[in-house]
Amino acid sequence: MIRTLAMGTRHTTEDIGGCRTSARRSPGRHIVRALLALLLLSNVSCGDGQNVIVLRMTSWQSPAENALDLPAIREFERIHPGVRVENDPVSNQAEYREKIVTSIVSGSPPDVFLMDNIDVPAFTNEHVVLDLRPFASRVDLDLDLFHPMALEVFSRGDAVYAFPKGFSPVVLYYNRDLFDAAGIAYPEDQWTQDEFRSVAKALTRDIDGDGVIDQWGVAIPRPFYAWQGVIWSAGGDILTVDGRSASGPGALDSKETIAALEFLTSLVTRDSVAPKPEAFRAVTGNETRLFYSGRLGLLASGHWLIPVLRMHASAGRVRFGVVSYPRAPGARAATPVFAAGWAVPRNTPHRKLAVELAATLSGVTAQRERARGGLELAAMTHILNEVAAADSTGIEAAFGRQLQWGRLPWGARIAKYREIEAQLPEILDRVLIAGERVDVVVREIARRLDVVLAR
Amino acid sequence: MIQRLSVTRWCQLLCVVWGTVLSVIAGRAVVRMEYASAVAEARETARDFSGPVPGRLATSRPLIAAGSIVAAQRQLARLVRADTALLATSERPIIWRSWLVRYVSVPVKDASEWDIIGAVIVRAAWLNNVWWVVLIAASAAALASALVARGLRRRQLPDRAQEGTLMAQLELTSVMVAGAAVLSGVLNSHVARASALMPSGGAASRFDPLALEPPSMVVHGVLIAGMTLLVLAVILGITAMTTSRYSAATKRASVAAWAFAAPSALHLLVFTFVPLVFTLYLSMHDWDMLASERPFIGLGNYSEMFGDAGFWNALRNTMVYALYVPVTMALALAAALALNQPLRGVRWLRAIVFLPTIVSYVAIAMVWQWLLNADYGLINNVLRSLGASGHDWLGDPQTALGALMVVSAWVHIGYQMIVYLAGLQGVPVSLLEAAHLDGASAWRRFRAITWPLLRPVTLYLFVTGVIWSFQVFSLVFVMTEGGPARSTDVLVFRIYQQAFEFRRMGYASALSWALFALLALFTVLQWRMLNRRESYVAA
Repeated sequence: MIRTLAMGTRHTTEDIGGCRTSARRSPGRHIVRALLALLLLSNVSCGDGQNVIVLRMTSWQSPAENALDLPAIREFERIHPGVRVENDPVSNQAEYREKIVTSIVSGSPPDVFLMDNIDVPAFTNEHVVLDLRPFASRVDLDLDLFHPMALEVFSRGDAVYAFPKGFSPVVLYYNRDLFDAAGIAYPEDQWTQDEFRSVAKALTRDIDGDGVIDQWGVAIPRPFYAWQGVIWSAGGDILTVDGRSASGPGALDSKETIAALEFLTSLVTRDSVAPKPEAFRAVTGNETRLFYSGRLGLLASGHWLIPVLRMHASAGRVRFGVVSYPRAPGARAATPVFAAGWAVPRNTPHRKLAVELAATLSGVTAQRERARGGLELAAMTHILNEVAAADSTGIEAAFGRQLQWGRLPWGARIAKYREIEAQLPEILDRVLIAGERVDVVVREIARRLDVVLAR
Repeated sequence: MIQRLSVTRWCQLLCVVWGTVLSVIAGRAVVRMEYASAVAEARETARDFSGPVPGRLATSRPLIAAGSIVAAQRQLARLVRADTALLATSERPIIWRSWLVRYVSVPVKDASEWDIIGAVIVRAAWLNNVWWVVLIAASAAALASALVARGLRRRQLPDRAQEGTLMAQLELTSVMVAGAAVLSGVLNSHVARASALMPSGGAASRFDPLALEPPSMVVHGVLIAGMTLLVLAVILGITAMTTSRYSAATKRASVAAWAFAAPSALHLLVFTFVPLVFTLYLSMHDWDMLASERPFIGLGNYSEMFGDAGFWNALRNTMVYALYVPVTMALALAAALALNQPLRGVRWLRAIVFLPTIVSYVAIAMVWQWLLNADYGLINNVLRSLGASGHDWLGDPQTALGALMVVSAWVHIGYQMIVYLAGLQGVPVSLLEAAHLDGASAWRRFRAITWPLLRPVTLYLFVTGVIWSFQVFSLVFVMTEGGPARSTDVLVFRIYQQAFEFRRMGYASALSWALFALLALFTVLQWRMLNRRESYVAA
């Protein structure tokens, strides 16, 4: 042991001497040593062989949705040998938006990205995405094939800033089993608020008699998109027609909107036919679970719910239909139509290939594949009709009917909508939890929104 | 001796690794910068050749442009149409290089930037020149340091001083030379690749690989960081050479300390201080990330902040939320006192209490979201089984913030307990035993001995705890999103929302500075208290 230590020490001491001697007598040795290592590294770092063009695409889609795009991507890669498509999805939509904006601003955007309708105004106002109309014919994509409403979401004048991937109106799903059990006729489009209320009352039940409601007539999700249709169907809105104010005729503090919100909140506060929305706020999907497990009669949502409901329907757990929002007397039912589309950043280094990829992802093959998945309506009219014709349940046709009452959501029209939308759930919170009056809350929030819009 | 040698060796290794990383990064950054410069040149050249109508470029322009058409630095620019036949061999060496000038190929696209209609070979000179100036300056510095070292040797300073000086000089020179070599290697690779891809067929897509990624802010940042690093290296070398009045040991320690601290210092500079200053700049602009115009508005964002009810609400919520810190500390102290006893299994208990500290915040938030769920949550189920009614803890504005505070306490109690335990182990047993012999009760011993000696720990935990509490984000983001009725809207969540959801970077920066000022003020106050306490302890 002692010897080993001694040897170790001696060896080290020689090293010291060697090093010192070396440093004094041949300083070039260090340089040569460093150079060899560096040149080796430089070769490694430079040998990245870029003979393959990599196109980057991104979206907020789930793995299941991404799988639906695969056939189109494979087809694109087959037509373009030497090009590889790299899909880099971000499942959280907030993080996705952050990523898209920062990557575009920093000059390293994805070549193709999925643009939500709520981002259209900001991206188009600042010209960060490409007007695809001039290129559509070059990639053999006929824009007339798209449903006008789907295309309108991404259009500004003649310009088209994304090829629609799919779209969906928000509808009311109704549970046929519960209607049958209660002996109520299925609702029809353009039904009235009174009919809606009486149906909701009939569907609300304390099944086991313990004083606690086990089956609710309707659920009011906290996100605003789910009850935008109620306001529109009462002749109200949240902004004036020009989108510049939340106060004034037809806007948030108008009598029509206040009446619509009083109708909505009274379902909880007066009729007790809907649970408080905060009970579902923290965990999404609870309403859906209640619906397909037979504890909820009516649920507002979009086409994206269809795959889950079909799965439960095929297992015999639920039979369902869809219907429009109820309308107020003298008004007409209306609903927002949401869409997403494939956009190309203006500063992509591969403009031509990127537009071709976007067109492929929105093309006929991709639309058919996505329609098969059932998450949304096909954005092309003829495929939409094909799917509706092939659907024996009539659900797809019912969705198609809702489009005639569809409206462009505010998010697709004004850039500040995200700030506005973020404040609207507070109406429900304050009325349903804190017990404040609808008109008082609404007027205060309208003033606040006016400040945002005037800024 | 061995330790000194180890330090020297480590310094050497660090210098080499450092120089390598710097050189590779800077080399690649330079290539990209060079490309950007070449793109600009190419666009101008293409305009000169073809005019605004792209069709003319394809129909009437010669393959080889006359050098006199373009400015002096673009005399050798060559325009090659995408659909042309192969050039004659004599005309093909369109990309070449020398040690002083380099030529880069850039695709030229039509007016709509749709198709590549040719390529321009241009010289991207300016950055090269800058790079060479830096390199020459750095080499000159290295040479100067070598001369200083030689002078030192002549003055017969102690061996160690000479060795340290010479060593630093050698490493510096190594970095310089290696940087040049790597840069050259990177450029050679780039040029070779570009050459291989230049006109050889009819497909326009063959040019696409030439479209290297344009330089991003990151690249600029890396380049600046690289240059800063280089300057630091030079300063370091010169400092090492010129501090001959210090002893050899001091110099060696100084060089080693600088060498080890420099990467962290640079990191701190680039990723903390520079962004800090930049946010100040942002806060005085109406800065939408996507907008092309970002007007200067002076203190407009600050003025808006003071009139923004949402800001005051978030500030109030944040301050209320911070109240969990003293409560947690009290619990942590109690736990530490209990687990400071020589009991069987006490280590396991400590580990269990500490466990939440190492778990991801998001995972914690999701688990607690379920625990607190009004319908299916474990907590409500337990309450119901005890005969009490359940409650929507996160859905009620009266209880949502409190629920978050409970979760935070659960997360942090383990860490605080461990720190308290460390403090307790430092309490002299002799003092406690003496007090015990004097008949002092357990409470009296704690009150008179343990607690005063734990004050530094307590103040440390309090300061850091409050700072962390002011920065709460993940729990709010996952569990409540600031609701219901904005009852859990805290400052950092608001900053995030303004910056990334509403893209109001300027206003978010103003909010960040408000938070910074608040924390700075709080920390200064705590430091003053700490100083008072230290004098008390010393007394």
